[in-house]
Amino acid sequence: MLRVENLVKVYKDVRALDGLNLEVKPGQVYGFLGPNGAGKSTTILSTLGLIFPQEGRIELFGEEVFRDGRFDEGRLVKAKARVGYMPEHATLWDFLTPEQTLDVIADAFGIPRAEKEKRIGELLDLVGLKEVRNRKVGKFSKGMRQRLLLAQALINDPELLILDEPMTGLDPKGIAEFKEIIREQRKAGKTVFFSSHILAHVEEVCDTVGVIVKGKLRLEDSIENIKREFLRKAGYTIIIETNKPVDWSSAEWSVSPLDSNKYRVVASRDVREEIHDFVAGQGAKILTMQIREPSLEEIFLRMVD
Amino acid sequence: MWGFELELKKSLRTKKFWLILVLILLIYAMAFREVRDNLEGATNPQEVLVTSVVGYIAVSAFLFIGLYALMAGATAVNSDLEDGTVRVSLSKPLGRVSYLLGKFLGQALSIVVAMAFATLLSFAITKYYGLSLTASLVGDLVLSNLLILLAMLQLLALGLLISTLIRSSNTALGLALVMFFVTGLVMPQVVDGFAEDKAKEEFGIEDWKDFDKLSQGEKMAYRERLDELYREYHLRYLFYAPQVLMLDVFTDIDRTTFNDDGTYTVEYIGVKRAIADNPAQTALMAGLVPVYLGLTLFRFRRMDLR
Repeated sequence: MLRVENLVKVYKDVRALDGLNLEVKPGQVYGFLGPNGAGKSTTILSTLGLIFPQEGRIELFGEEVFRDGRFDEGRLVKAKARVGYMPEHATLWDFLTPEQTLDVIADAFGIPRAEKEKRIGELLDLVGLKEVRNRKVGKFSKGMRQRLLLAQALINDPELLILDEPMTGLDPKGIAEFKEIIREQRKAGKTVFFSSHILAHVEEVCDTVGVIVKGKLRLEDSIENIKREFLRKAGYTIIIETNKPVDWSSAEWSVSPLDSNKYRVVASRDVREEIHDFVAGQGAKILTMQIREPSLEEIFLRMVD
Repeated sequence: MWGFELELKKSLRTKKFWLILVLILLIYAMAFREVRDNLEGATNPQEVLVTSVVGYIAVSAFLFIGLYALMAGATAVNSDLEDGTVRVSLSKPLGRVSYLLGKFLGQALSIVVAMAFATLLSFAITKYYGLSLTASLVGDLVLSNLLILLAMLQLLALGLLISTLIRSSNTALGLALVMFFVTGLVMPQVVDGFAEDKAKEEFGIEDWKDFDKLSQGEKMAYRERLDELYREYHLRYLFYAPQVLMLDVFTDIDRTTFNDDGTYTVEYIGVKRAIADNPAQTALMAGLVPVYLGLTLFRFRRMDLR
C-alpha cells in the first residue's frame, strides 16, 4: 500500500529523514510514533509529493511515485486520487461553510453532483457537523476544524487514509468519536497511516506501530510483539504482597521492598509460579500478585532516551 | 481548472479588494468634477472627455489596481502555506502547475472585476455630469482596459513569484509595497532626472536662464527630445515597471495645443495608434507575464510545502 525505502531529507544542516524504511500493508492501522521533530510530518508530506526528499524511493499502491529526488507527477496524481489526507495545523478556507468546503474538495476528485451531495451529507453527519453545515468555518473552534479536516480526508472514500496528529486539539468526546471513526475504517478494510506523539491514542486503535527517532525507524511491529520483546529485554516486574515478611536472600531474582510485606520482583521471564513456591517454602502466603505490563509510553520513552 | 473559482471568491472577499474599490470611487468622484470644469475651456470637449476618462482609468490602475495586483500576488502562495490550505489542496489529485495557474487566473479575474468597476464608474459619473458617451469612447476604453490588464497581470505574476520566494506573507507584503513605490514612483523620478540631464547636455543648457534664451522652435525641439529620452530611459532602466510603461503609452493618446485666445485644443490620436507607436513598451508588458509565470512555476514545482 505504502512503501518507503532509504528516504533521505536534509533541511539545511538538519537530517530530518536519515535513510527511512517503512511499509504499510493493506488493511493495517499503522501508528507512526515519534517525538516532536523526529521526522513524522516530513515522512507524510514526502509520500504525498509535498516535500522533495533528496534520496530514496516511495511506492504508493504498488506504483513507484518517487525515486532519487524526482517525483513521477502523473503516477503521483493518480495515486493521490485513492488517498485521504488530514494535515496537522491547517485551517481550511474561513469564508466557506463546511458544506461548501467539502463541495470544493469533492470537485478536485471529479465526484459527480448527486454522489457528491449524498457523500457530503453522510460525512457531515459522521463528524458531527450537520447542525453547523451553514456556518462559516472562520467561526469554528479548533475541534470543529479538526472534524472538518477529517471529513475532507474521507470525501473520496480513500483506500489509504493518512492522518497527521489528528487528535490534537480535540476534547475527550471528540477523541472517542475520532477513534471510533478509525475503527470503522479498519472494519471497512481501509488502510490507515496515523502519526501521533500521544501513545494512548495509538495503542487503542492501531494494530501495528512504527517508531521514528531522528529520521530513522527504530522499531516496527505489532503492539503485542513490541511489548513482549520489551519485557524480554527489560524484564518482568511483578508486585506481590504477603501475609508476613519473606527472606529473599536466596532468591534468583532481583527483589526490592516497597512497603511492609510488599515487594517488587524483577525477572527476565514470567516467574509467578516460582515466586508462589518460594513464598510458600517460607511458610508465608501471597495475598496479591500482579504482573505489571509496560505501557507503550514507557517503551517509547526508553527507546527515545 | 480546480481552484480557479475558489481563488476568485477568496480574492473578492478580501478587505484590500474592497478598499481599492472604495478608493477608486472616492478619487473618481473628485476627479470627474475637475474634468467637467476643464471641459469649459476646451474647443472640443468630447475629445477632452475621452482622454480624461482613459487617463483616469490608467492612473487608478497605476495607483490602486496595480498595488492590489502586486499585493494579492505576493501573498498568494505563502499565505496558503501558513494556513495549510496548500497541503490540503495538493494532497488531492492535482498537479502543482494546475494549482498555480488556477490561483493566477482566479486573481486575474478579480483584477478584471476591479477594472470593470472603474470603467463602469467612469461611465456613470460621465452621465451624472450630463456628458455624452460616444462609441469611440467606449471602444477605446475596451482597448485601454486590455492594455492596463497586461500591466496588471505582469504585476500579479511578479507578486506570485515573490510569494514563492518569501515564505512569510507579511514580509512579502512589505516587500511588494516597497517595490511598488520604489519602481513606480521613486525610480521614475530618478530616471527622468537622468533623461533631463542628458537633454540639457545636448541642448547646452546649464541652468534655466539658458532655457529662456532658446527660441520657440528650439524649446519645442527640446521638449520633443526630452519626451523621447524619457521613453528611451524608461525602456532601458524601468522595463520591469509595467505601470510606468503603460503610462508612457497612454501619454500618446492625445496631443494638446494651447491657442492664443487662452483656449486649448486636444487632438485625440487614439489608443490603437498609441499602442502602435510604442511597440517595445507593449511587448515588454505582454512578454514579461510569461517570464514571471515561468519562473514562478519553476520555483513552485521544486518547493517544499511544509
